[in-house]
Amino acid sequence: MRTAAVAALVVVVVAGSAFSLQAAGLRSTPPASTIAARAARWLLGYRYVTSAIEVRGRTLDGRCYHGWFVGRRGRVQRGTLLLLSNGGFVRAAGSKRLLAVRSFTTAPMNALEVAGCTHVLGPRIASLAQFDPSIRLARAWLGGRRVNALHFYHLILLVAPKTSRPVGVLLHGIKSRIQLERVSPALAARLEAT
Amino acid sequence: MTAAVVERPPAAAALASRIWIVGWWAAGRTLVLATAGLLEAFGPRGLIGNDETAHVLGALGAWDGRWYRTVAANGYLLEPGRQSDPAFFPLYPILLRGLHATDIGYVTAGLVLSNLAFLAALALVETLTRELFGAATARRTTVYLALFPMGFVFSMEYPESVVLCAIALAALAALRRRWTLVAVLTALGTLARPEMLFVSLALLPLALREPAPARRGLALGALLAPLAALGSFALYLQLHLHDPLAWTHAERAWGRKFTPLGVVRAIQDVPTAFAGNAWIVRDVAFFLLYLGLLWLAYRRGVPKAWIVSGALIVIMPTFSGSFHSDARFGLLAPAIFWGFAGVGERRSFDTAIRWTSAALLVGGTVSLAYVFP
Repeated sequence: MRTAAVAALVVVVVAGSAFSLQAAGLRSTPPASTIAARAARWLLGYRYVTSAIEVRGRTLDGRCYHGWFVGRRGRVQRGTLLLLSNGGFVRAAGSKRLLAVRSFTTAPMNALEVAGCTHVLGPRIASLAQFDPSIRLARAWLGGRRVNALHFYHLILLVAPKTSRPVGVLLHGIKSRIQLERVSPALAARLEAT
Repeated sequence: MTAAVVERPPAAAALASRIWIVGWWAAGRTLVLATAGLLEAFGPRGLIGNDETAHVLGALGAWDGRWYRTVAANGYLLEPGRQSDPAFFPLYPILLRGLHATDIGYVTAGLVLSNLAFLAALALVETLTRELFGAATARRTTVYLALFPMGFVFSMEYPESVVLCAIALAALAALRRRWTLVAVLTALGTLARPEMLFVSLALLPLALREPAPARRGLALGALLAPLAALGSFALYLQLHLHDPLAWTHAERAWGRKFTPLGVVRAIQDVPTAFAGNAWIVRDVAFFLLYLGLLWLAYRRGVPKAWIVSGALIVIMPTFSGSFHSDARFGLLAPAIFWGFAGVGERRSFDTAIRWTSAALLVGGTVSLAYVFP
């Protein structure tokens, strides 16, 4: 009985001391990183996003879908397709294949990120949430609404204040408003056939 | 004229008699650090990230080192379904943060910490081995550990050298029946690597020998300290991430999930893993080598509790469904090195082991450009 009591006491003291060590020695996660991780989770939970992209004084509408596309030689590949209201598109399929026609920027990857393409922007934000030590949280306005702005290196992600749901992107002077949407099977089939 | 006889004080004499340990530590670390430096200067850089190539010994700060630095700099952040830092235990980042507070960079802090801790670990393992098996075995064990092919990990921004230090010191404290110190060391070791849980098993026979109930309670409490430390980590994760098992959940993103049949899955998946990355062969080879050395250690009379502890350190990770990194995990099982020391009893074998190990140590360091240890 005495043996068990002493052993239990040792366990309690060790657990308390070990917890105190962690509480004192580890830094609390910066709120900006936590919000960024939550925003990444939002993005990765969706496959379809619509956007309004402001570029050189005019607005382009975008629809971006992540799914399966028929590639070369009839091979089905996972990828992302951004359709623009000017008739242009950007497609990323396979591991490194990027195709852009009448895009609003010369860097196709930037176009996909500004348009909020979920499986391009999501992994990038998730990675930055872990590894970017310079993430900064600020307040901003988007369409008359107050939002949180997550400042990463080169990229600003605008998120809703309470939910951290992504609502906009700023990249190299191009600004967008984005809306994450559920995709119906019929719409998915139509987009995959594009 | 009479010569003056100057007697050294006992502590100085003991230190002088161990200077050879510093020599072997320096030899092994020179091979690793020089190879890492050449890798940075002339390549190949392979998969080493940009962050690490900014440092002259960046290869040694690569792979998991990046995750430990992230925890040190930003604390824990769980990203469900993705690789995230709660998979990495807190003690090493806490130490990194402490050193970083003295105005040195995280990579440098990690390299200084790991390499100095390895020197201490070598001295402690030598003392422990000498007390258990005599001076000759202690010398070979120490030399083989200093040159061991996977020993480049002890110079990396990884917690292995700190944990090996804790293991050897805890065992020495247990031999001296200093159970409070054992409790502190096993708890600290567990906060760095979960393998420390199995090391407690090796000390169980010593605890059970305590005759008085209070002392035995203290001893058993000391051996339960790793579980207490693990519990405190779970509590910390619950309070900060709202998930007490965040570390196991984060591990899943690396394809690790503990199941009773995980070892079967690990064996079945070897061909697939080989197709993805042929380096898995190294881990499987070391897994088999470690089991062989444990068997030799058993044959040579190493206490069974240490053999069981070593076997658990080597075998348990495969229950996560993968052999990945098993070559590294085995570094924390002293019984493996006691078995290795037995192989080197013949002089010709001893020489061959030293030269082969040194060559493979260099090769292992170069492999950092392509594969995580």
